[in-house]
Amino acid sequence: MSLGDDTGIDMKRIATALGILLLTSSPGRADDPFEPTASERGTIDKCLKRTANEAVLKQASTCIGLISDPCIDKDTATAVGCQERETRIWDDLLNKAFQDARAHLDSAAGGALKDAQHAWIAFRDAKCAVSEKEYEGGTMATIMVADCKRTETGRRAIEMQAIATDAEATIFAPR
Amino acid sequence: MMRSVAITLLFLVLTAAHARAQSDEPTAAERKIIADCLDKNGGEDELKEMSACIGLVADPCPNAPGANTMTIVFCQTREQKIWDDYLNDWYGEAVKRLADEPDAAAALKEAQRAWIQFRDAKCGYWEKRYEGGTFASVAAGNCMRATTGQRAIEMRTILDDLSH
Repeated sequence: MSLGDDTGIDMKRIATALGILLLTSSPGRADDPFEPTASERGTIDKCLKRTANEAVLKQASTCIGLISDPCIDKDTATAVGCQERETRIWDDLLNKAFQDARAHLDSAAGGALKDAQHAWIAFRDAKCAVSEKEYEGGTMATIMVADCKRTETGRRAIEMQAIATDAEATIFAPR
Repeated sequence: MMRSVAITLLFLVLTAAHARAQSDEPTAAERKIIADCLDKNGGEDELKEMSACIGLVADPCPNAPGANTMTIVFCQTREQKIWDDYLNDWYGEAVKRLADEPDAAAALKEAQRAWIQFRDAKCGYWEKRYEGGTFASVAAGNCMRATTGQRAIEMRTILDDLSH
């Protein structure tokens, strides 16, 4: 999740950019195990379209886990890779929905939404740190933290899509 | 005479029922609806359980006879209170079980503090979005209820995890 006011250098972004450069010379995603494939993005996208009219919670329970759940009994590195790729898909959807919502809101509501996202980031980190402390020292900690970030990001992305849809609705146009 | 007493009694009963329906305190029946759902879905994945159990009290309210903004907000508040009671119980229990793990207990307390700030900021958005309209209280009430329910079920998952 980026709020557009980060001034620091984002190492992940640089790594992703490097990955894109590498991909231009070699097909496939082999160089970055955390980069979702087009087909993985498509799986989530199709689920969201299919369940578009369902309540946020139902949609979350149907669409979150589609990429990571099949990897649950694989080795730690594979399982964490699946978690990370799904988290990236949700994080991209979250960023897009956040920008879409902001574009349709007045400054008071837009400011409140930005505040909510700052608070969400703090909550996500504090929440997932509990898993880290609970399983401290074990490989299980890595899996549980990745699982927590994926679920929490997916849930917030689906909430944000509902917020964006509401913000775009002309029936309740902002003053 | 008997007839007028009966009518008066009927009137009193109806008034009481009416007062009940407009209250923001959950009824025993409403608490049971949520408790039964949680029992039935115990062991289910957290997200599935949420989608099955959250909204059982509040979702039917907009279609109830005589529904208005106030009755809908009261419904939201009653369901929120039910979840808030579960959240407090399960959180208290989880902190107790972490007595030997001060780092994890401190992390859980910190997460709860961060959750309260997130809940308020998240639901505060709806106040700003519909500022000045009656819909603001419905949207914010809906947000408080669903967010509290989600956190309650998450807390139960944490507690179940600690019990193994």
